[in-house]
Parts: sequence; structure tokens; C-alpha cells
Amino acid sequence: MTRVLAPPLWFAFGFGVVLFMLTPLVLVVVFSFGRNALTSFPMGGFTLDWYRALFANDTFWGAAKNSGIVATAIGLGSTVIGTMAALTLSRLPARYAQVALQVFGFPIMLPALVIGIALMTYFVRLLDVPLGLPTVILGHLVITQPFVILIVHARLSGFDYSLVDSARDLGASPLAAFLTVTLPIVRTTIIGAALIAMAVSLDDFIVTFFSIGNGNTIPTLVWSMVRTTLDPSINASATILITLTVGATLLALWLSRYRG
Amino acid sequence: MTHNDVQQSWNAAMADWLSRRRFLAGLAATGGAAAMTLASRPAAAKTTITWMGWQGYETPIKSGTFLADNDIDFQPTFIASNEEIITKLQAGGVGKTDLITMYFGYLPLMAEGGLLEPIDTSRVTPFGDLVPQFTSQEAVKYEGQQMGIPWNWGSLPIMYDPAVVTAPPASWFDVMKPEYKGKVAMVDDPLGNLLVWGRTVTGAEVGTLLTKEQLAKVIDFMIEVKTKQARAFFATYGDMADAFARNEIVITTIGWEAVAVWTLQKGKQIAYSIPKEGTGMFMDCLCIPKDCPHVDLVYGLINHILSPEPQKQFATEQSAGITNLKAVPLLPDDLRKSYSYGDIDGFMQRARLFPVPPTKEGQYATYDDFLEEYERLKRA
Amino acid sequence: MIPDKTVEVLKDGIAEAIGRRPRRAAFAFRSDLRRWLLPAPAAVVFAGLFVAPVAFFFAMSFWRKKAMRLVPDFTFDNYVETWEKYAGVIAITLGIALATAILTTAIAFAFAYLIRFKAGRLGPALLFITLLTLFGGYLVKIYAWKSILGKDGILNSALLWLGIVREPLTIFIYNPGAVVVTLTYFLLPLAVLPIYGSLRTIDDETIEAARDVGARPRHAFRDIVFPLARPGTLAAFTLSFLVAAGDYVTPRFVGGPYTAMIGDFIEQQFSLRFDWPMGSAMSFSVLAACIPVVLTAAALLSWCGRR
Repeated sequence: MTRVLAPPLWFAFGFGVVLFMLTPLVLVVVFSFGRNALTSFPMGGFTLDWYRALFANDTFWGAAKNSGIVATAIGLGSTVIGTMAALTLSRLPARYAQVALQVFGFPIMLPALVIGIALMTYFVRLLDVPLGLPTVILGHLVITQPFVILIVHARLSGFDYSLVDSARDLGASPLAAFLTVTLPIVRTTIIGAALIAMAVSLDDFIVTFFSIGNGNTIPTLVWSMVRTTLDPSINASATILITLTVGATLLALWLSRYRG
Repeated sequence: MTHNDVQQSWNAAMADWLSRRRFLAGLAATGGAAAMTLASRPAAAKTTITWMGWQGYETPIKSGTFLADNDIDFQPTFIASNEEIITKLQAGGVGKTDLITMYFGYLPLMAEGGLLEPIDTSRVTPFGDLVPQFTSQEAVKYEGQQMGIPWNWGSLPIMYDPAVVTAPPASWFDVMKPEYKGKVAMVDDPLGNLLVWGRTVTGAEVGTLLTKEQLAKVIDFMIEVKTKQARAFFATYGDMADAFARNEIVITTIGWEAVAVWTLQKGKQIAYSIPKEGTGMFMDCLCIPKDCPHVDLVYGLINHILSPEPQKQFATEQSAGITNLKAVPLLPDDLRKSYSYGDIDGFMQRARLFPVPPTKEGQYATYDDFLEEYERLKRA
Repeated sequence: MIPDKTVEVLKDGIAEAIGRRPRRAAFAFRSDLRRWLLPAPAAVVFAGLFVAPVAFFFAMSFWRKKAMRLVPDFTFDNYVETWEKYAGVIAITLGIALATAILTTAIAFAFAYLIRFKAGRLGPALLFITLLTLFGGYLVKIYAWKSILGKDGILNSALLWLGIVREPLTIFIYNPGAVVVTLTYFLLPLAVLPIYGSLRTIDDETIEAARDVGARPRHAFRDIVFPLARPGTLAAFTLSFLVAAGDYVTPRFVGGPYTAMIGDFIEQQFSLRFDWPMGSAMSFSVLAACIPVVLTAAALLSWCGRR
């Protein structure tokens, strides 16, 4: 069953899909180094000017700061809240847990447009809360929490709770039992869930657009630049983000290989 | 529904990928570090000035040392359409926004809705030097008070690729020529389209004051352009500029001088002119929203925007029209000529300043009637 | 730890003294409380920031707009108007969403199958590439697609270079097909994951066993793999379909003059027309129109599985 890509047909198909998925990403990166302001071929030679332009742009830093604040708040808030919920769900009988997971998963299924607009009308018209970064963070909690719950619950659903129970029998408080027994086992999963939540938050445009009021995050800044001119400095910002993700992953892969 | 194991599948997939991989820890550390760097960058203890307007319109604000001298942390919100400013102010923006730039036609509507603060013209030092034809417009005043300060203007010309369209199009109706089939650009700018086509199709004196029948005629014609000639109905002017640079289109049903600047940045020379039917004109104002948090600083900023050097920088960088006549001598020749600062009255004959359609029912189709008809164009 | 126990004993003592709760019940009560406190924040977020806003938004669909003001009311006018004016747009939207969902689910299924059964040790790498496509920014990637599909784009350059065409083709962009391709690209990672998750629950041993008793690969697929993959497949389909039906950004940038989707009109009720009740009625009308499609897909999938 585990022959490596034996039939050529499968190989061709897999190659095609990978090409389909990677080409736009590769183009995003390549154009960030092209001299031409138009993201198209020929690119007119290699340059780092777009990176310089990006770093010199105050508006970009303002947006990056806002994106950073929101993503950090989501990385902490959504992860803690989602993990707490997943801890409980994993102790429920499987049937109830599945129902609960389905319910908690609804926000991923609905179009972001509906969630964004519903939140905006709710904040503005019903609660009379001024829009701003706090409302963006609340909106992102809604759309990222399901990911955290699903991911952490999946890891915990096969978890042997007798370990925790023995720790409790030995006199550990529930928090101590969680910190010393459960957490070390599920730590990598929780970190992974936090990363996915942050990635979703960093890339969200629609919910942010409706819940931010004044100011920009990186996606809304890019959106407004499309209204007038979009230049490859935006590709530069995307490239930095992709590089951070892939670079850190590869580095860690390499480290873990040598340390076993 | 048979969704039973749906989430479990998700879980399993994610968990499989995530749980086995230690390296995610390293990834998280990097991400966290990056977030901290970003969050810690700007210095504290500055006054935050929030502003809404088109991208590019912040040029005069950032020019010179005004922001640094006054320790201002400038927070722009770039808009997608003028209407978006109204929405944002209604949706909690009032009391949190310091300054906006707005198409003059919407000022009466906004003043009536209580979204604007009257402007004390005695605190606007260059007010007497501004183009009188603009400052005297009825729409910039409300109940005798000044609601907006004109600061930037231009026309909505026909734009074309001179490599294909060798002579300036004589008429707007040239877009129907068979050789341009599938190469015509339209832009999703409701009011802009009316400014150009309202008068062109009906011959009405004021292109935005049309009867319902006339309005239907305008939309019918635009539907014909859309279904027979158009390459795309572009979401934005920027997207149209991009399509020019990609050689997707050769002629347009609407324009904005700034588009030529953007396409040139993208390596494509395009041209624009005003056909014989004439066109619409736009004029944008600086307005202070209701409950502006930093009124004194904002007056300083308005004076800075209107002073000659920032005006000149804005005009040259964005190929825009400016309103401070003291700044005009600083402009390069070609800009002075193309905006005919010597004969603004003449310019305003070719490109006319129209009000926004009325809000109240009457002889003419209302603004809402127009938006309703415009949706018919989009659905077609 | 000891103080904790002490408190426990003291509390139990008090409880016994009052004569209300026996030891066990007191303990159960405490741990119950704790059990329900843990998921409480998530429940509050879900109820307060998802259920309540969506419910309020739904209620608003029965309101009226009167001279730039929203008036609470109970009228079905907005729904009537939605179906009168936008039935055609909704039909086009559902068509594009359905094409996208079918294409996405089909590719995702085959790709997930490849990762699970055919790719061997390359599997995790393929999964990683799939997740990678979630990054990079939505709009930036739309512009990347423009440089692939456009008249001067990569696809045309390739066709010209290969001598397949003489003139660059203009049929790749500014039409519904371009919207379907671009949406498929965005939705593919979200569709691969649940299907892969389903396939992962299948033991290699089960399939080996089926082989051993003489089942053909085709039958093993039909009897073992497909039924187990069904929930994930349906999830992938539903997600792709609903998200595609609500999208308005992609059609604005790669769709042509006739590719107006309903999300575009919904968004304009908020950005341009100040008619929130209408926007709400339009949103819920589309969601309602989506339900039969999802139910049909579910029925079709289980019918296929049964044969």
C-alpha cells in the first residue's frame, strides 16, 4: 500500500495539483524581487527596492502593528479559550462531544461576509459599541475558536485520563495536574492550533473590514491599495510572512532531525 | 444531516499533521517574536490623528515636517468609495475621526445627517486664496455655514491606449465602435458613471437631474455597452489601471487623471481627453466630522494641506488639480495647462460640476432611484 | 495540596453538619462546576458573538429602511424584493458555487487519497504544501492569478511558446470560469483536510484483509474506503459550496461583465445603500437557497455509498 507514487497517473495528478497550489505562491515571491511595478512577466531585473519601500512606509507599519496586536491576542485568547473547551469536550461521551463540536464549528461554515456584517450591525446598532481593534479581536475569536477546539479536541480524544486521575489522587490540584501531566503531552498540538488561529486571523480581510471602523490591518491595507495602486511592496510583505513560516518550519525540522 | 464524523475527520487530519511535529514549537517562537517586534515599534506619547480618504490623498499631509513637528501618529483609513466614509461615520466613526476628504456633492446629505462639524473659515488661513468658483459652490455650505474646504479637483475623461486608439476619441460613443469590442473598460463607480453618461446620453442640462425615463435611458445604454463591448466591469480605478498595463483594455467609459499616473508607474503610457459631449468633474473637500477629537490640531493640518508646497507636491505626484491659487505658479507647465488654471470657467464648461441627485421625491429621479437603476446595470 | 484537602474536609464537615449534602454529592457538585466552567468562555464567545449577532441580523431582515434610518418592524417585504430582483443573480451565484464545490471536492478527494494511500513518505510533505497555500494573503494571490490567466499571462505565454495558439487567448480571465478556478484554488486546502482526516481513520489492515479474501481494489474502494470517507467529503463539499456562494471579492477581480454574484450586492447594501434590512434578507435568502443543494449532495453521497 505504501509504494512511493507507483502509477505514473498518480504522479502526474499529484504533480499537477502541487503545481496548481504552489504557482501563485511562487509568483507572489518572485514578483517581490522584480523591478517592474506591474506584477507580470517580464519583470525587468532583480531589485530589493520593494522591500525598502515597504520598510519606509509608515502606513504599512501602522497596519502591521495592528495585525500583530490582533494576531497576538488571538494566539493567546483563542488558544486558551478553545483549549479549555476542548478539555471538557474530550471528557464527554463521544456522541455528545460530536454534537458539541458540530455546533462550535458553525462559524467556519458560514460565509465570512455574513459573520462580518452580522457582527457589525450587532456592535453598532444593538450594543452601541464603537468599532476598533477590540471588536476586530472579538470577531476573530469567533472565526478562530472553532479551529482551536477541533484541533486540540482531536489530540485529546485519544488521551488517557487515568494519568490525570492518578495525579489528582496523589494530591495534585486540577491546575497542577493539567500543567504537569496534560500540558506536556498536548503542548505541540496547542502550539499548532495557536499558529493556525493566528494564520487565519492574519489573513482575514472580510470580518476585519466590517468590524474595524478606523485604521488598517495588513489585509485591509492591501484591499485599499487595490482601489488605487497595488505595487510589489505588498508582495514583499507576503513574502516575509511566507518565509517566516516556511523558514521556521524547515529550521525546526532540521534541528529535530539531528536531536532525534 | 449525516455530518456525524465531520469534525472528527477534521480533527484527525489536523492532529495527524500537527501532533507529530515538534518543529511547530520553533515556528511559534518565531511568530511570537515577530509579533512582539511589530507591536513594540512605534513610540508612545504621540497624538493619534485619524483620517479617511483615497489612497494618495495623504500625500500633502505627509509632506514636509508637520506630522513630526506636532508629534502626530497619523492613522489613515483608505476608502473604497466616498459612500464608505458615510457608512463608517454612521457605524461608530463619529467621535473617533479627525479629518475626512469627501466628494463635495455628498456634503448636504452628510450635514443633514449630522455627520459634519461646521468649519470656521477664519481659522483657515489660505481660504481667501482658494479658487472662488469652488468655495462659492452651494453644496459646500449648509444653513449658511461652511461644511467643507475644496482642496482637490479633476475631471472624468475618456482614457485610451494611444498605441491602439491613435487619435483622441471625438465622442464618448466611440466606445461602441466594433473594433473595441471586448476591449472596453467600465468601472464600478455609481456616481462617476452618472456624471459622465447622464448628460451624454440624454442631453440634459444637469447630468444628475434626470427624470425617471431619462435615467432608464442612461442605464439602458450602459447595459448595452456592458453586454456588447465590455471586457470587464472593474471593481476599482486601480484595477482598471492594472488592466491597462496588462493590455487587457484599450478604451474606457469613465476615467480619472490619476489612473494615467498609476499605469505609467506600471510601465504603460496611456492618454486621456474630454470628448465633444463634455464630461463630469469632481471636487473633493476637507471636512471635519462631528465630535472631532482634536479640533485645534486639525485646523493646523488643514492649513498645512492647503499651503503651497504640499499642494504642489500633491498635484505633481498624483497629477491632480489643486485649489490654492498661490501654489499654481509652482506647478510644472504641463500640469498648469492640462487643468487650465488660467481659465477655470472654461474648464468647467467642458467638465461640469454636478450635484448629487436629490434625496426628496419630486420632478427628478432621486438618489435612491438612481442606485436602484444602477443595480439593474450590475445585474445585467 | 494539604490546605486543599483541609478545605475539602472542612466543607464536607459543614455539609454533613447542616445535613444537606453527603460527601460524594459535594465532591460531584464541585467537579461538575469546574467541568462547566472550563468551556464557559468558549460558550460565551459562541453565544454572545455568533448566535446573538446572527439572530439579531436575522431579526433585522424584517425591518424597514426609512429615509436613511432603520425602523424595527415585522415585514416580509425585503424577502419579496430579494426574490423579485435577485433571483437571477442568486441562480448564477449558486451555479458558480456548485461548479466550484464539485471541482474542489473532486480534486481534494483524489489528492487526499493520493496523500493517504499512494504518496508514502511524501505524504506529510504534500500535506504541508496544502497548508502552505493558506498563507500569503488573499488579494495578493488574486493578482498572482491575474498574471497567470491574463492576456499577457503565463498561461498564454506557454501556449504561444508551445505553438498551440498564434494569438494570446482572452478566454482565461474575466468570466465565470476564472472565478471557479480561483475559488477552487482558495478552497482546496480547506477541502483536502477533512477528506484526508476521514481517510486516515481507515486501517491499512482492513484493506489488506479485504485483499486477502480476494476483493478487487475497486471493490475495496467501494465497500471500505468510500463509505468511511463520506463524512469528510460532505464536509468539504458543504464548506466549499457555502463559502463560494458568499464570496464577493474574487468575482470582482477576475469575473467578467456578467459575473456579478450575490455577495457583491449584499456588500453594497452596506457600503453604498445603507439598507441593512435588505442586505440581511438577501443573506438569509441565499443561505436558504443553499440548503436544498447541500441536502441533495448529502443524499447523493449516501446513495453512491450504498450501491
